[in-house]
Amino acid sequence: MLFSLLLAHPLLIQPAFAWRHTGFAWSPDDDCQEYDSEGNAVTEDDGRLRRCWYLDDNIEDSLPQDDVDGDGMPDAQFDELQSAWDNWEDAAQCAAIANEYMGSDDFGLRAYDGATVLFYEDPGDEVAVGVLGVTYSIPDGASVTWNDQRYSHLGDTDIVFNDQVDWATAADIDAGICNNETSIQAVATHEIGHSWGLGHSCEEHESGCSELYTSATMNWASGSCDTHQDVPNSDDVTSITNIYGPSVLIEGAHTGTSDRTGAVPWDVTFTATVGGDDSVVVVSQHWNFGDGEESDEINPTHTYTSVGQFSVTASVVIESDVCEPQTVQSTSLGYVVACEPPVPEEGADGFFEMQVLDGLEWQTVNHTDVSTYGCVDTIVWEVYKGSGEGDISDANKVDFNGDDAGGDTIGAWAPKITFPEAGDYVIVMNVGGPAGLQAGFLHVTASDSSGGCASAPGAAGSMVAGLAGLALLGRRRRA
Amino acid sequence: MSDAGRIFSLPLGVLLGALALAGGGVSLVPSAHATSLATLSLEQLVDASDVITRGTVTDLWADLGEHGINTHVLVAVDHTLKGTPIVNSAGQVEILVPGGELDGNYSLVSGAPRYGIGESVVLLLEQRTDGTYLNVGLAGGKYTVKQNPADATDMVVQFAVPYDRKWDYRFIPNPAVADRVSLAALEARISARITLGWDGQAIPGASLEHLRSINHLQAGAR
Repeated sequence: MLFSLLLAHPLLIQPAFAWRHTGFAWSPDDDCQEYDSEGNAVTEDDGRLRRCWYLDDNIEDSLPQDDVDGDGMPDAQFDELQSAWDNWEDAAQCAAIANEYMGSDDFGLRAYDGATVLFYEDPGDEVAVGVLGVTYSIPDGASVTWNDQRYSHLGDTDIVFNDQVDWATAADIDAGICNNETSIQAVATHEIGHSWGLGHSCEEHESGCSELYTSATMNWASGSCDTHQDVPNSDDVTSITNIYGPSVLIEGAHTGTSDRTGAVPWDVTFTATVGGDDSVVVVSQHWNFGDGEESDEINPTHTYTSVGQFSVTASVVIESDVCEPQTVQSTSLGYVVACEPPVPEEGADGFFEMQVLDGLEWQTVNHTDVSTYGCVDTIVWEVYKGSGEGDISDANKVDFNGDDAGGDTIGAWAPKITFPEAGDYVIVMNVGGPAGLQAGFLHVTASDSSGGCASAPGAAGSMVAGLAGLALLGRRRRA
Repeated sequence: MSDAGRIFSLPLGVLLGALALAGGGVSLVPSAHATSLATLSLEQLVDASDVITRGTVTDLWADLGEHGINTHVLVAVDHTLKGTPIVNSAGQVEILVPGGELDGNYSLVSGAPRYGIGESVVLLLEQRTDGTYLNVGLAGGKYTVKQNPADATDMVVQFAVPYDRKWDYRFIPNPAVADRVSLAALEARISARITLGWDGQAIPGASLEHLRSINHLQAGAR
């Protein structure tokens, strides 16, 4: 049942966290060890998942070229990347992760070889202008479970840094030696986060991202002469700890219309569960529901009464042997979308109006409120010959494409409508979302010459079979 | 689903795992290519673009490339502000977008632009060697043209939702009235930059040689 649901509605299911992992993770079996000539592990097995990584031997000429150790690789080129790997371990001490550098070689083109290779060039010419680095994460078809959560198992990750970027070391930038260069350590820390399985904390042009997410290492962008992303922040730490350390999972149970969307007033029961070591104990919970309301209840029920997309935060204090003697505070966050049936935007007289452009050609002007993305997801326009609600029937539906297969519908947001001939028409707009549907009409008189007029509907009511909406109050506007 | 309620805690990994099992083969399991981007100004995006064009999306399809799933987008060119686009016989440019959906399998690319058929767009494009194009700065090099309901004129919007949310350009929120940028104003700003020329400053990801070849230098710039 669960499986079929996932396949049937793949786009409606989102991870429960605002920090987003890509859905991929390594498994404990991917622990990497370096062995000596006698087959003995060089590094002590400390119970951490140790990822081995390699460096392609291409020389990056924008970084300092000092080679004190004489290995043919400029020291900065390796040191910055080693620091980037270590930044995660230093910041996320409750995540059982580690790294091991395995050496440099000429790897040529990026390949599906199971080895995590970092390239200071773009061997496949795949990286666009403005892209600083790319992590290519390829799962192998298996799955892996961490903290009762199943992930696609990673088979390979490679990281490519754009070879047309001027890079600088963190030390130089922090010393003020920077002229629009980009911190290789900051970008590498970000990309290595991807290679562990993390997604972006916030995407470009995404609304509703708080400073916590825009300041994170896993934010989508990295600025010039800026090293702040060298150090993973609390959101980054929570993200990686939730996979490889003691985890906190927010769940929401409700009777809404889709996984994260419901109609106001909307009751949602939130629960925070912990996974990982059996010793994990929840000490307290604090909830922020995103609409100005907060609670210290354990697994509270909250009623959303206003429309909007709301970020939900649970601060859960746990104690775990994994991180003894520390107490770990995990903050996980998700969002819910509370909706009402579509309404006109504030200040509008109605849902839509009609403007005559030239004779039979008219422009619809759509005033439906779309301020909360997800609350409107359907729109259908229909045109009928006639002058009133009584003319709305299949027999009068206008056939725009001339296929004689019945009247047509239009799915554009605000379409231009060219009437087939002069006369009276009724334009019907059906607009809907998870909280309900609205439908309404407007009467226009189209003429062959420039001009024409539109009039408001005479009565409210459900006009289209199957829709329990109100009549839309159209507004007259002359061009 | 019963009245007991819906649970929305399922992480994407569960979904991807299920899809991977359904796909049945290594070659078509979902993959993720995640990026770190430079924050580029509109002027930098203009300077770095081989072609800047306005058009309408007419077709979308995905295929399996050498390194995973790619989405191909055909855009019927309405008019061009910079460069000379390589078009097919129908006057369409082809955009290559990393990632996409193919036969129920997904490749997710953080930061990649998303398109819909019928969408009116302004595109800032980097030409590939095969004659197709990439968006400069990924999603930064794409504007959606939509109606400003205040005056029924065209405005431009850049809007994203996380890759795991359904995306439909028709329902993009309108910016606040004070933040709305008309299509005419965007095109005027782009044209002004093209006329003024490149300032000679480096742009992350673009070679100076290429920038010189596609722009004229501002007076006094080196």
